[in-house]
Amino acid sequence: MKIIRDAFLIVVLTAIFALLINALRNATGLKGLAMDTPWPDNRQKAELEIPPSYSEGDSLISLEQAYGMFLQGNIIFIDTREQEEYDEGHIAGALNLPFEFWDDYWEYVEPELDPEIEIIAYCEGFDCELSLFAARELKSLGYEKSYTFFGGWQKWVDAGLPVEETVYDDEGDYEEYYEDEGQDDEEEE
Amino acid sequence: MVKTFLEKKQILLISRIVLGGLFIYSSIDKIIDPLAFATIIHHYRLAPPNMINFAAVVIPWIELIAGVFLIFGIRLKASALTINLMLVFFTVVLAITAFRGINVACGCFSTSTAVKSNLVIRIIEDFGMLALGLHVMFFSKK
Repeated sequence: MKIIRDAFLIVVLTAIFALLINALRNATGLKGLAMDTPWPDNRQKAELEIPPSYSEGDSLISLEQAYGMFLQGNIIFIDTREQEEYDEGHIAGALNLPFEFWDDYWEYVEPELDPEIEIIAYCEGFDCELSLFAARELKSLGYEKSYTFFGGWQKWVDAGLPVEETVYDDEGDYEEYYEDEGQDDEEEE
Repeated sequence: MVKTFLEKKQILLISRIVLGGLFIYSSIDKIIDPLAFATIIHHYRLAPPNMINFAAVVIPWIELIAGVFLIFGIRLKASALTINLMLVFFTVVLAITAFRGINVACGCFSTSTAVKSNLVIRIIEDFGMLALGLHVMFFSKK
């Protein structure tokens, strides 16, 4: 019995110690784990939805892959919806490149891109394939690491992952406001 | 005769160093980068979302501390029990994941996601380590 008690103590005390160390790392910027990092519930096995126009050579990624890359950083999200929709809310850090007005926006987006960095294109939901076409276009322009996150915005919002909206100030310049919806979502459940 | 062999101090020490060393080694990557480990846990599609952060922070430290205790003989049988229970838990998780046909980076020894793991081999490894852990737990004198 003493062994079981000791093992229990080892686990509990270590857990407390680990949480304290983690809090300390977060407080000092030493790459701890934010304990409120949101994780979409993926326990039900989800099939990867395939866009109707899918063909070989298109690279599809799932919500969890997209979120994993988002957390790691060093990737760029491309929002292919129109600016109005983008302004109302988009994946945190995403750039706006409306597929239907590609040429108007490309000059602003291109300097932000790098062929070495992975690019994830998304649009509204499952009835929108602009992200697929945008990823193809990007690939043809030499950005080989371009992916389509099909069902993107809808899936992202449903999972309660970080989004932001564009807020215009008085001079017409805009600034990004970050809002983390992840926590609220968890509390609702 | 096998029993006296297994009860030899030197033989027990080898088991402790190998098993404890593996646990220490496997904990380092996860402690350095808890976010990467949390992502791996998430990819198993098994953990309740609100448990993932907690598990990612706590599990690697338990691996480390139990491994150190095992090597240095601190609360030897209790740390062997802790390690054995973890191994059983990991094996069950891997078996469920293999059964569900989910292709996942193991996160067993590192937080690299570059290579998808052969879960069957990982399960066999777990049984090997469990043998060491049971050896320490049942043949140590103290």
